[in-house]
Amino acid sequence: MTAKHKIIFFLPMAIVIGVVLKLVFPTPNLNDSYRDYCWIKKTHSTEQFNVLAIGDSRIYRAVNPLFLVGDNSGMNAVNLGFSSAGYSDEYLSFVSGRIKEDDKSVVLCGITPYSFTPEALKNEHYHSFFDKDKKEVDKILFLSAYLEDFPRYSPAEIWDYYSEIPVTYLYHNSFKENGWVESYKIPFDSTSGLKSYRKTFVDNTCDTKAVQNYYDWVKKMSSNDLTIVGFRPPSTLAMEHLEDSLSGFNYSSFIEGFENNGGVWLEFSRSDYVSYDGSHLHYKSANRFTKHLAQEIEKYLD
Amino acid sequence: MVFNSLEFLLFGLLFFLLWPLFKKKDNPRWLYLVAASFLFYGWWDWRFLFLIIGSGLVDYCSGLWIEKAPKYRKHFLFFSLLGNLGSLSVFKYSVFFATSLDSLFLKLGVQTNLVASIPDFALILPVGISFYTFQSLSYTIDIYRGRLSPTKNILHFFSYLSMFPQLVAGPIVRAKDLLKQLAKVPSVNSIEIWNGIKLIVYGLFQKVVIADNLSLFIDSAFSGSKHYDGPSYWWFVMVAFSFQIYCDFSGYSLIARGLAKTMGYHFKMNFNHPYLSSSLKEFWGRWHISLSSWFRDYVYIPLGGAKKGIYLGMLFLWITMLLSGLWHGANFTFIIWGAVHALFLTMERFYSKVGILRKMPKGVWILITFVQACVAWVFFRAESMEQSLTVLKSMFTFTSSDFQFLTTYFDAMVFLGIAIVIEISVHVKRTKINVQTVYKKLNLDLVFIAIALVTIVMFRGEGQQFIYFQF
Repeated sequence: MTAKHKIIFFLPMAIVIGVVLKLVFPTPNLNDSYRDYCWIKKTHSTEQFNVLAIGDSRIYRAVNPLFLVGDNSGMNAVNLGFSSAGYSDEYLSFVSGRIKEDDKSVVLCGITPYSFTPEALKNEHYHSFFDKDKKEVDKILFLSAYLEDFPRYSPAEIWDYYSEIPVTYLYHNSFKENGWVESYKIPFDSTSGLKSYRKTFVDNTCDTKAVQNYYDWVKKMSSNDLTIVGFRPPSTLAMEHLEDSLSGFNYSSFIEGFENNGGVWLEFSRSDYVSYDGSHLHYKSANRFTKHLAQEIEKYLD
Repeated sequence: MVFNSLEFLLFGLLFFLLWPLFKKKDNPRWLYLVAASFLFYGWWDWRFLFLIIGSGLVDYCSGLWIEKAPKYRKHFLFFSLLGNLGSLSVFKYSVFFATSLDSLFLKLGVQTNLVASIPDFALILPVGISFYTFQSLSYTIDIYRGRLSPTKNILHFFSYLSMFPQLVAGPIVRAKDLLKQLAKVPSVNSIEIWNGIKLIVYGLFQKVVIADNLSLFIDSAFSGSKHYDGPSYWWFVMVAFSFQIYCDFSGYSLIARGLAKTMGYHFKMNFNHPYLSSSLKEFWGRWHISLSSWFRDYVYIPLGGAKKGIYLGMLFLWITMLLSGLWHGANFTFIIWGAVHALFLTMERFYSKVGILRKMPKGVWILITFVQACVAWVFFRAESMEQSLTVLKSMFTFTSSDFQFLTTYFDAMVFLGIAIVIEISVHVKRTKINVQTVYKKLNLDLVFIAIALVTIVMFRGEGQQFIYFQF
């Protein structure tokens, strides 16, 4: 076979191999072009909503906007959570711009001790998408339509699909356009996140100035007939103990200040839900939690 | 613009579509190359094009003046060195030098804040500055030494300096190799095009499939976001990093060579399976060859090389390796990386003469060399000296290990396995004649390139920038 033949044949040969493998392999659980599309939509859309869930990864994994408002209510909901998000002025101003002002609106704030620490206030994950230039944003939005048919495959998933001895490690993340991330991990280990959370509070404890800024925002929003709801996202008892002892954040005094500034505090029983790593809710628990949340806020939307 | 991006795909298609129209006449060819290269570089930040132009003009003029006024050639060489090393110092090393001096003064009891006085523009590291300044420098030095005649055509010079395939991450092409090629009308036959395609596809495979899929495992280890520890974990991390950096950089070099080949130009090999080396001396003849030979020709040999006796030779070796470390990054960890290599090379000069050791099988030496490279890479990858020492301590503290990370990072382990198998296969193919015959007879290159292409699409890792861009 000459070089000329090889130049002609290598591409068709690759296409044939690719089509065969696509038919043989299981569909991957993570489509990263769609993931990027979801984050870009979250940060760059100008659409406004009646119900907004805000906070860190515990929120974007725990609150599924699909169950927050009724199908025929004429209202809409979104999840604007970001990894390691903190309640900085710019994040709160970003949220304010997405609230439907001429209608009844509720902002659901997941309050974690980490979200008032200096590291969280940097909002690096949020900025990694928000700060992208227009060229990059357009590219992601444009490409996602084409790349959807070319997902990335994982050897572990293929192994698990065919083997009787599974790898037993899987981090399932299914990104949704409404901002929710359906997630779970195999193996289930409700203590796996503890060590990394312990590290996050080293030289990084609650900033009281940030809490005050947040109160000011709650006061301003509440005076505009908006309902600002606060709650501690359910995790595990061990995680709560860890956060309470290391973060320098005091829930009871926070709640007092929050309610004095017009916020509505909700309590949920952590034992009703399951966390796959000690921090984030398993997607089935997330759906259950969202339904409970929806029942609680119903009266503010009527 | 990076090779593994949509922008580059469009840029490359357009470039090669129009290339036949321009390549037949000198000035249009050079102008087209320069314009395309400036577009390629300016896509990142057009303001830094002025730095390339400035750096290039200094060397273009110095080259002409050295030839015209040989009496003052030392002055012109100094002018060129000052221009190139000056810009490198400002943009790459100013923060490092300022913080080092600040901490030195603080130890002496004087508080200074030199870092604050560095202008904002100098805080940005222009992509590829270390590569194009070294390339530009070699032009003037070779003219100074009488080994090269300067080109009178400024387009010819800039097409050499800024040629887009190698502009931002090498290989560092010598003027005496490329200027001659650029002066001729390039012609390519189907064998060269096929070889070019093979280099591009395999380079992309190394970068996108191997290096990018290993990055999550390595980054999470060094960021401390996972709770794994123990000697086996850290050895796996360092072996993975050895292959990540190799595939990342070698991948870029292969794509650069492949692009040049399809244009009708030939760049020398930059990586020659360095982990198959049976000594560190051999390793440096196979790793980033264009940089190693640059340091050899412009630093080590001018200092005196090995000709001035064993002890001076070793001193020159240490100077060269420390400078090579500093070239890689403005941080003490990179200098220590160079020092560790210098130390191992010094030791090697002695133990390679011991009779019993020389009789050990080649495979054992390959393993020893690889372990030495892995140990040195710790300093290269770690974010601080403290972290380097912690990692080394973990690697050499023989405690029981938890192997759960193997399933957590199953994907990374698969790609690491593939990278190792490929290197072993290359070794087998090179040493066994019958394997080479079967390879050719069955046209296995066609099959492998088709499979590599499919793998790039289906098993691509998270898009990462090339590691060497930061140098």
